Amino acid sequence: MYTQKDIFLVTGATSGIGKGVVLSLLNQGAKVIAVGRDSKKLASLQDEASKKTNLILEKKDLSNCNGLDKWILNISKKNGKLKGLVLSAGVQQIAAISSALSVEKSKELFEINYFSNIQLTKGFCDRRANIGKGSSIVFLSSIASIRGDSGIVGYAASKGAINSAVKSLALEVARLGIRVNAVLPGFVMTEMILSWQEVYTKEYMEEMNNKYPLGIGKVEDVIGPILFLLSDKAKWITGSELIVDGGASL
Amino acid sequence: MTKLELLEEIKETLQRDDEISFDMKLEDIEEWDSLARIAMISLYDQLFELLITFDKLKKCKTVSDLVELVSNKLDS
Repeated sequence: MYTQKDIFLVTGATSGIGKGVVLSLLNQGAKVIAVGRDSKKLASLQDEASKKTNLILEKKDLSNCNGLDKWILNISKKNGKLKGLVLSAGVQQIAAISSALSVEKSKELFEINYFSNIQLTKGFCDRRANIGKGSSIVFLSSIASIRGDSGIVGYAASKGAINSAVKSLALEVARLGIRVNAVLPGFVMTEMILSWQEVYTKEYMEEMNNKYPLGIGKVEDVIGPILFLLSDKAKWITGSELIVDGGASL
Repeated sequence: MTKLELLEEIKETLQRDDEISFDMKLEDIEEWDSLARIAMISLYDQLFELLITFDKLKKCKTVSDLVELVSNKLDS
């Protein structure tokens, strides 16, 4: 489907949905620049990759948004103009509004979930960084942004900010031939969520399962829709929020 | 900031690979569109704390005219 001239950059590439997207794009023949902050996880991604020569690893901590626009521009100057950007890096926090650090924690959360992604988008949208017509950006949002739940005020708001930004961004960069969309996954079993197992008790998981008409999702359930939005099959879709949640938000 | 340094900043703002020169007509610069004008307003605000109106910007015909808007803030 793709050749190594089709270059995609994926953040949050070493685990969960981001990792799945990297491996799938490689399988489809594309060249992928995988961004993660953990050297060991990046190395293990390389072990799993099908076409290792098409995989470029970039170690980067995205928790500080300063300079990320120039960074992505330099990457494209080094490797070639980018066709796609998948913004999958993000953090989840559970903090009740009554907790002492709720506002401070929200600021940290916004820094990575929102501001870093916007800064990366700014770099990608530079005329010198993308291929123009046929380029696509996919933001990883969440159904938390459209359906309330207790304890995730900051997280939900950071994803809601993405949904709003996507619409204006889509209008702003359409003239450059760039499409911008958000995918809103429901609860999928990623490593990030597994690491919260102390919070997500068995009872909680059962209750969750009941909320999902098609059951709790797996990582691969979200990858297909992301690949679709990246591809030219979605060439008339921009500014959209694609809900991928097994019917949970209905 | 010197005129040449500002020229480089303008080139960067236009996201342009090719060089620009003072005598270039703005209408001949492919990247000079409405969003580039907004980016120029932000650039002058950031560099010189100077708010340039859209009308003033529209009257500029050449790169030199853009530089002239802030000539009193540049090093000779």
